[in-house]
Parts: sequence; C-alpha cells; structure tokens
Amino acid sequence: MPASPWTIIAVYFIIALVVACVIAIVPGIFTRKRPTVEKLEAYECGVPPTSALLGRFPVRFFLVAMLFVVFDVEAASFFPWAVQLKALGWFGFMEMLTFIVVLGIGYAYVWKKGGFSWR
Amino acid sequence: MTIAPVAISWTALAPMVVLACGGLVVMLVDLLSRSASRAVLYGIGVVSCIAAFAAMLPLYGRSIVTLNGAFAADRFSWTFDALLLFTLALTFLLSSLRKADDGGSPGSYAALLIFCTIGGMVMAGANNLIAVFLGIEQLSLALYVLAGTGFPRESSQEAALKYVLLGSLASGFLIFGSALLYGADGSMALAALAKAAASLSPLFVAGFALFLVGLGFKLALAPFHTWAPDIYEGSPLAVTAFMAVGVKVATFAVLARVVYAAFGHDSPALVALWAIAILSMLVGNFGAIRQRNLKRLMAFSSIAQAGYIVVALNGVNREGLSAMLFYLAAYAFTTMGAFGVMALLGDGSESYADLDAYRGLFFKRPWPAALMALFFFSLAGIPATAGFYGKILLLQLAFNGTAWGVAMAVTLVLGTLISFYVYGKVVWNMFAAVEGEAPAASGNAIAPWIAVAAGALGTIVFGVLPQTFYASQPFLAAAAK
Repeated sequence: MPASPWTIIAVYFIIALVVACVIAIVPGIFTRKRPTVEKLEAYECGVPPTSALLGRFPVRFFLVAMLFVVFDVEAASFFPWAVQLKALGWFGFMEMLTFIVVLGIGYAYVWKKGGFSWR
Repeated sequence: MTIAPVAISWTALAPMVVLACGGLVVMLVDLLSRSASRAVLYGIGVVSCIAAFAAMLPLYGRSIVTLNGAFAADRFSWTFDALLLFTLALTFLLSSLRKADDGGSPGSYAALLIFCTIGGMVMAGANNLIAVFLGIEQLSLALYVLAGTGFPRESSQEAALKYVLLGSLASGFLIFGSALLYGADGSMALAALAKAAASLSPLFVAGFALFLVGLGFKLALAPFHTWAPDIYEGSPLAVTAFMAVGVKVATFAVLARVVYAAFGHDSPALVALWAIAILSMLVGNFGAIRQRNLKRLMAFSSIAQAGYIVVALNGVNREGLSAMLFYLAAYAFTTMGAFGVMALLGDGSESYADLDAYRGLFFKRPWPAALMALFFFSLAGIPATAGFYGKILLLQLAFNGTAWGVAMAVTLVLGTLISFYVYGKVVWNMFAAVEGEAPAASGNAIAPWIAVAAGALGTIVFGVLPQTFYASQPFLAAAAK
C-alpha cells in the first residue's frame, strides 16, 4: 500500500484512541475501591477545600476576564508589527495607527461606561 | 527584506469603511454627550446607511476582487449589500420606539447593529473560506449581545444565552467544515472548491456536510432550526426583525457563493441541500399552525421561507440566482413590514407579539390591520404581492426534470397551502367583530410608519410589476459569476 500522508494521521488517531481507552478503562478494572472522606472530596492541590464549589460569585469577574482577553489579544497583534516595522514601512504604520484609534475608541467607551470600575 | 503590501482596492471596501466610521461616530457621540437621545444615535445610524449606499453607487456593475482574492465586490454582493443596508435602516426605524428601561444603552445597541451589518457585508463579498468565517463571526457575535439587549425581560436573557451556546456550536461545525474543505483542495479560495467537488473526495463530502450544518443553523433550516422560535420570541422586536431578514440575506449570499463556486451544475452532493429544503418547508409550515405568539409564528414562517429560497439553487443556474435575489428582496420587504406593524402598534412594547391582541384589530386600527393583512398575504403567496411572483419563479426552477426538483415543487405547493391556513387565520382574526369597548388607540409614531410604508411599497410594487424588477440589472447578478 502506498503510504499516503493521511495514513500517518490515521495511525496517530488510532494510537490516541487506544491509549485514551486503555488509560480510562484499565484502572477501573484492576483497582480496589476503598473510599474515605478525604478521597472523595474535591481535589484542590492537597489543601482542604475552604468553600462550596458551586457557590455564586459576582458577574464582574467575567466582565474583567472578557475585557482582559479582548485587549490582551488585540495588544498581542502589536508584536509582529513591531518586529517587522521596517519591512512594513509607512503602510504598516498607518494601518497600525488606524487600528490603535479604533482600539482606543473601544477602550474609551468601556472606561466611560464604567467597565473598569468594580462596583 | 521587504514585505509587499497587500493590494487593497479602497473603492471595493468603501461601503464597509463608511459604515464602520458611522459605527465609531455613534460610539463617540454616545461617549461625549451627556444625554444623546435615541433619535440622534439612531439618526446617525440611518445616515451612515445612506452614506454607505452612496459609497456603493460607484461599484454598481463592476467586479473588483481585492485583498489577495479574499473579498469580491461584484454585482452579486452589490444587491445583497443594498438589501442589508435597507434592512439595517429599517431596523433603526423600528428600534426608535424602544423604551428607555428596555435595557442596554442606545449607543452600544446602535453601534452593535452597525457592526453586525458590516459582518453581513463581509459575508456577501467573501471570496475565500477565511473571509466567510470572519463575516459570520462578526455578524453572530454582535447578534448574541443584541438578542440580550431586552434583558429586563427574562426571555431576552434566555434568548441570548441559547443563541450564544448554539451559535458557537454551529460556528464550530462551520470552521471544522472549512478546515476539511481546505484539506480537500489545498486552497482557501472558494473558486478552488470546484476541483475537489468534481471528484467528490470523502474529505470534500465531509467538509461540505459540516459546512452545510453550520450555515443551516444560521439560516434556521430544518433540522437545525430548533433554536429559532425561542430566540425570535425572546429577542427585542427590532432585533428579531434583523435576525429574520439580515442574517438570512447575508448567509444565503455565502451559501449561493459556495454552491455556485463548487458545483456550477447539479451534483449528487446537493441532494443533502434539497432534503433540507423539503424538511424546512414542512417543519416551518406545520410548526406555525399551533403558534399563539406572532414572533414565534414569524420564526416558523422564516424557517419555511428559508426552505423555499433553497429551492432557487436547484439546477445551479443563472435564473436561480436572480430568483433567489428577487425572493430575498420580497421577503425583506414583507418581513420588515410585518415587524414594523408589530412595533408600531405595540408602541415600543412587546404587547403586539401576542396574537390575541390582533382580534378585531381592523375596527380599531384599519390601516395597520390592512397592511398587516397585505404582508401576510405576501408571505403566503397571494397574487399581486411580491411573495406570489417569488414563488412562481421558484416553482419554474423546481421543475427541471429531476426527481428532487419535483419533490421540492410538490412540497412548496403543499407548504403554501398550509401557510394559507396559518396566515389566513391571523387575518381572519383581525377582521372578526369584537364585542365591548375598543381600547384607546396608541402607537402612531412616525419612524415605524416609514418602515411599514417602505415594506408595503416594496411588497406591492414587486407584486404588481415583478418582471420590471426581476429582469433589472441588480437581480441579474449571476452575470458577474
């Protein structure tokens, strides 16, 4: 059989599937189950858990996380531009300037609307 | 080392750039003025629609492919863009009555609507798989938020949550399908799909199937339609109108471009599409029978209408594209008009989403009732309305000698008969005599009246003089292919 490039991927998938199944199933067959209170509680890096896992917490956390991701990802696109600044020349500079202006308007909008204040 | 800059045709991108500037202006005005009224912000929105349309005029009849082949501004995208801008302008008019306590700031609402439409315009001109995905995501992300802008109502929160969860699942299908399509022909360009489509390699079939699932979700085609009723019901009225029209217009542009680029003729792979069309026509019309809420009814109606529009692709020929554009334009006029009546009567509230509110409406508000009847007649396909001629065009296309074509034609007629009952019941209800006193007539604001009038004008003119428009240049879009 001629080795198509897809054969390698198929082999990879089969190995991944077999390994995953073995890891998931085999321990279940051979272990002895002796549950204790400590073994059954949620694992938090070895420290006894301090609070209920399914509590409510402020939606502000999500807002901060989202804003962080948005501006972090957008800021990350500055790096390739900075590295290739000379090669991209004035065209790249003007493009980046436009990008910063648009980003800045968004930033100002979030700021003014109180997205950064922890109320 | 120097990097050759990507050749950019600013003429081709001008409509989107103008609209984007409009969106930024809306945000800045909302920021800088203490109390920019709804009217000012939405007015800027309407003005940017008109400005973007003006920027489209030099593009008329031209065909420019730019951004390394990622984006095409041709006759095909021109007509879709015009429809999208029309929908956006009408959506602003419908939004003008929204109450201040409806949640969200009018500035972010207007800006999101504009950015959403830019996403739709990217889709209409998308010429490779990345641009398709970029457009769909921009459209969807803005819509997820817009669906939730009625958040004091719990149903709006529910709609936003359901839409974001199911929508991201659909996007997953779409991007996975795109990846497999890329794997099948080694190119992102839609034009390159033809080679892989001819051989029907397993990779292509799998990719196309997943891609169809993703698009089917966005179009609310059965069996990927289950989200539509809940989300249409929960979203604010104007957003529902935009969802029903704008999203379908943009997504059908993508579907048509992909199908025409990949196949160019009837292909066995398209059987899946025909089956989806038949199922949508049945599910949409049967599902509409039992609805007591007009927004839910419109959701099922839009499922059926999407099924009808897929029929236009039968045979994959030029007439099909023209018929699809004609039907989409008719659908846009009619649906925006119907939602306009709902917004007008409800005076910014959702009270006229309830079908019971329409009982005996004709004797209280004769004009809105008569126009609502007109829109329902057009959705059902009664002669002398735009919907009628649209269906005639689709029926002609369906009879192309294939068994699937005949099956679609039969389902189309059957679905239309069921829809006569569905819409007829509502119209009958409006003309039924009611005992007791008539409630005080409210809702006579000028902005939604303009939207209703525009919808009614389009419905009647397209219905009475269909040939004039069907044969006109914007609808003969296929020539650009």
